Amino acid sequence: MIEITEVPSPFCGIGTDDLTIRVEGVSLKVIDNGCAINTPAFEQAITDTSPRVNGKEVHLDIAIAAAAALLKDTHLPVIGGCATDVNGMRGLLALADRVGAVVDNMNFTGARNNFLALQDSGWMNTTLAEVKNRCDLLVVVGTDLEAFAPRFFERYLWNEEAMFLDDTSAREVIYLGKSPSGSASTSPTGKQAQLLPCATEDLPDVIAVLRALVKGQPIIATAVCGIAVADLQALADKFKAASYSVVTWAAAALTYAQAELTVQQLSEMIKDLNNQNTRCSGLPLAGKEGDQTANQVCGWTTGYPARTRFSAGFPEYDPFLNDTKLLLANGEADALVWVQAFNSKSVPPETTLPTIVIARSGMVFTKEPEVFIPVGTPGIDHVGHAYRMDNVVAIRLKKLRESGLPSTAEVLNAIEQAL
Amino acid sequence: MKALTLTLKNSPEQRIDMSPLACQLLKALAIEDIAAITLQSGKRKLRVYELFTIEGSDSQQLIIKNSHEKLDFIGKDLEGGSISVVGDAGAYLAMGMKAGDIKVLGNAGLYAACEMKKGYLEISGNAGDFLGAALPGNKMGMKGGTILVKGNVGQRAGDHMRRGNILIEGNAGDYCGSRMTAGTIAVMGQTGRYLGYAMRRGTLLLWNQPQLSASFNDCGAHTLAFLPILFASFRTLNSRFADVTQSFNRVQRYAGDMSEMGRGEVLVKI
Amino acid sequence: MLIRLTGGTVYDPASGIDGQQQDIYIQNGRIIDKPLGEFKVDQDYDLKGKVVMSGAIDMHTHIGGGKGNIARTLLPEDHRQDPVHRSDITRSGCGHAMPSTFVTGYRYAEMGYTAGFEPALLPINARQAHMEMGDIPILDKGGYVMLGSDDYLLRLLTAKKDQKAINDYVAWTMHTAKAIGVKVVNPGGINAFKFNQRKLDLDEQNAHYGVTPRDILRVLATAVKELGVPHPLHVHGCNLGVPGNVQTTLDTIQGIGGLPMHLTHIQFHSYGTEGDFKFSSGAAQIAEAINNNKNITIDVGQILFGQTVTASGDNMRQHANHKHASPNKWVTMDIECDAGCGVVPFKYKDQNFVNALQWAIGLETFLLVNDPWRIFLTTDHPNGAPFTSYPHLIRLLMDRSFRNDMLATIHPEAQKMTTLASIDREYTLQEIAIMTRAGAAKLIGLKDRGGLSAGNFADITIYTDNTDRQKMFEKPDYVFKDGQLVVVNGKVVSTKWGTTHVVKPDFDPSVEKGLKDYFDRYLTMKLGNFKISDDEIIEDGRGSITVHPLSS
Ligand SMILES: [Zn+2]
Repeated sequence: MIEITEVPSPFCGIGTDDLTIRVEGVSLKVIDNGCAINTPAFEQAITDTSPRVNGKEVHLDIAIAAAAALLKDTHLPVIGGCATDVNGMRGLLALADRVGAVVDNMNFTGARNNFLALQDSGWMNTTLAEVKNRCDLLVVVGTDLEAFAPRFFERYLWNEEAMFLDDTSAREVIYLGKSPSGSASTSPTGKQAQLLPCATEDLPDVIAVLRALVKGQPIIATAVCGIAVADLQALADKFKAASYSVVTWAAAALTYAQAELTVQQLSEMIKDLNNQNTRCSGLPLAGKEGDQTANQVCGWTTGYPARTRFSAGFPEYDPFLNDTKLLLANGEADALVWVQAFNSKSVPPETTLPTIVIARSGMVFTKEPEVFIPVGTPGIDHVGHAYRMDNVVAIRLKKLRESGLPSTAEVLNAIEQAL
Repeated sequence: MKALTLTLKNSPEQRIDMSPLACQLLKALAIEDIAAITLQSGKRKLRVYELFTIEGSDSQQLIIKNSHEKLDFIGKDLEGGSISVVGDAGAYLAMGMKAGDIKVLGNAGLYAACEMKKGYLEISGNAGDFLGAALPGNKMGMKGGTILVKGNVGQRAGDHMRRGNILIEGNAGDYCGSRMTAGTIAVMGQTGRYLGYAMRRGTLLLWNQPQLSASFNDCGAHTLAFLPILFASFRTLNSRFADVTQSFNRVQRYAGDMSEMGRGEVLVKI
Repeated sequence: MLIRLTGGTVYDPASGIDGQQQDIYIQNGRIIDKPLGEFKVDQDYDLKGKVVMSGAIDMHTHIGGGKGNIARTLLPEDHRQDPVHRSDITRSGCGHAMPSTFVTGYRYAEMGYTAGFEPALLPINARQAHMEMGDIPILDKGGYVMLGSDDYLLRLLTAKKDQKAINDYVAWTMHTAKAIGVKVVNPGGINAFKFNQRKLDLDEQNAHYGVTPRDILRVLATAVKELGVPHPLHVHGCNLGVPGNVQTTLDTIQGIGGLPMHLTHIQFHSYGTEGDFKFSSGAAQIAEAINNNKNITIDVGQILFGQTVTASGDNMRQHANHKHASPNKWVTMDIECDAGCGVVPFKYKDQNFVNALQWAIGLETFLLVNDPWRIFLTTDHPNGAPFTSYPHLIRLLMDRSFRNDMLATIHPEAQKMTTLASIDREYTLQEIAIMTRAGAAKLIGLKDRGGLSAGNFADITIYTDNTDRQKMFEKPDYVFKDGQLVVVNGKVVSTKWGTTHVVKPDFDPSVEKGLKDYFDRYLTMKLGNFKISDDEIIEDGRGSITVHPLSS
């Protein structure tokens, strides 16, 4: 039995790296600094160790050959999930380039809200350490932040010391839209977050009015979707009075059509504030199940985020038509590769197509895929790299145990070799 | 010469990139050459003759029969001539069109007439999202020409529009005229939520009262002299927009989007 | 295997060879002396009439790291104009302003380059920079780690810690980030921007720390020198792009007190305020100062007309420049109490007075600085122009009539404000070889690179001599990387992986005590998880680390 300290997590997105984990053989126990997301993700037992072809346990070589054979004569294979580490994505993109596949990260439909806004007008963003040391006003838009990242407040807002704030508990937290599910946003001294609640799908209106007020444009209405315009004016004034305000949102929490325009309004509002003699920054939340990793690696490999097809021999980005769901529904795809090294509950979408699943051990299928290859989890079974939500920081994942499971990269590289 | 007629043999599984069949690319080609053109479909490159039966020879009058919602990029960057689509068109219909005319008897998919520069596009059925919009990353949508849709249009019609007219006989989905910089969108039917979202300038002309966002301010009733002139310019269209009884000059005027410059206008018939 | 390159005209400034006909022998990836006695040549290349140089080295090019990937993500429209198909030996990707990693490697190699150095390795983002560079084939690479706006250094300065403490921290950071040099960007300015300061002059204090850019430059330049890091402190100065900044740059040169210092993309720091548009060339003053101060080296950061994207650590100046964004979209970031970045697309236009004069200022600088060992050919890729424009730039330097023809087409007021037409100088092949090979290797401190004498790695580029220097440098006949033939007639024919060049200066291990406390209290990562191990670069089997000697 050993205890490993300072274990970084690829699961929570906020780069928690202070976990202590006890390792006994292949079983893990989070001893210190676990949370509702990280603890079960680390502690999940290994159940499958053997690949299967058509439900029968086979040697890895056989499974790889079967996967290669399935992909060989396809007209449009889709590689979905894309939930793995940097090396896994490198292997995935090399395979996609080789077989002319569509690459589509499972969280892209949410992430698209950020990407389309970014690609249209850009943004001014910040990262977690700046939040920790500078943020004096945090505005949370449309997102239950503590459900998204249970330790966000503890680690980055209610930290005892900050370099540039005398009293971190004096920071102000305001929720716009969705209200929090718990009390993590209440400061250590008992100061509660201010709530300006509205329905999530009303946020486009609310944010448009807020931005107009920040710019000093006239608004005749006195209320918008249940929020008094006067309250939004007060929020605009708080932004201007703050030294380093931060606006945070999870793209995937904005669960309505065209939410990219809301992200764009927010990001443009942040820019407007920076032209009014103060600093304000955005902090988009993501980093779950390798989504930032997928987009970063796909970004440097192709120029585009991870909803890109290689079918014509070069990368083509289409945020709508390269959607796995659409490709399966409209009959375009003729094979599915599902890569999910982090979460065994994240099963492939239902399909009658030939399916190759390269996933974390323990995945339970309603329909057994043609090929299933259990792989190690980055940060547990092998070393690797994963991106944190703020995109700048890649964390170095540790190997905690000797499970004998291959890495995603090893499996995907082997399939490519076998073609 | 008889119009070049391509009749799709089978419904394709993978989308087909039809951009090599824009009229200007076919001008100098013999029929055999056209038949041998390869079209990307999924991973495959298929010859025109494998996909279509070919009749006629005038490549400047192209007819696509038995057309399908997976035929993308029909009339891309069209520089002249006419394309008639019997059936549905896929995504990116008439993208970047510079001249000529395209008529679709069925429906059109995403991004029809995106970044259109000039010419005329008529869709008898419905159009998908992003009609007359800009491709992701581009800041300029439709820059000129006229689009007539007899059915309904999806969300974000005229996103980033710069100039030209989009005429919609049916209903428009949410975010009609989002991020518009100039140009006119006229909607005879109903409009969805978030009309003119983040628009800077430009005109949304409506027959029915919309649900307007709080970032649009009511500027009162006006009689606008330019409206009869605008309606007169529609007279030659094969459309209800040509019908004299549909025209008006009294409107309620709303200005927005105040989140942007607030110089866009929503004009509603009264 | 023994390879012989027979009868080429060799330009090897590292050994003082200037256009002499010589045979070169290659074995096991290195250049060797002609074997004694009988020997068998396995491959013989007849290079009669060809020009032979070592592989070119780009000493300042943004090829790895977060801001480059932001630039990529920001510009799908640029990629759509330049799709790159895969082949049996190469990967697909995209080109133009900020190419994908694989395409970066191919296109550099296809121009005869065999190494590129990322000048802005943020310590917290160094891991990403190395991973991106790990996906750049063929080229050797390395990075200069960015310091100067990090709160740790500024706290050391405010606490009046001695130079040894600074040296230990700098050396430790070079180790953890796997760097071969140290860069400072808008010294302290990126930090000041976080306190809402919008400009920071050489002697202006950071509002929180009270430290000035001059202080920061001095301690960092001293640290680099005392640690024996061969590459001098790499400086992106204050006031980038601000009219009148020529004075700041001259003051910066004087202020460093004779310490070695490299001023990067100096074109952007050579602006006066004369003339009707209050924008003029300071190139003559800058060149005079460079000629007179042997401790100073520069690279130019030439702009060339067309669409590109600027990606810089200098978020203060990039924010100020956002109104020039074309297309109008841009990103800035504050980063981890470490640094920042700003990404602003630019379209340089020859009919825009300022852009036209920027173009002339860069060329004046090239032509007025006498010593080619102290000036380097860069466009600050992609900031002044994509690296693929180097052959065009070489022609501008080597061909006076071509240069004057171009000059005659730019904004007429800019033509009046430049002395370019009166400058006769044309760069020689040897001078180009110095700037892009021998000089660059010497400046960075690369052992066994940038030369063609025995013992050097066989990074070799062979061109067909052509009076159209753009054509000549666009399409080498052959490029060898570590003795492997990777390019024939300007096309990649095989690929391999280059190495990562680093230096490892000594430090007192006790430096980690203060750092650990700082990390635990203020940062978001454990110190142990922050440090990049050699394994991270080499574990996938294709990367390697080459440690270069320190200066004594
Ligand atoms: Zn640079």
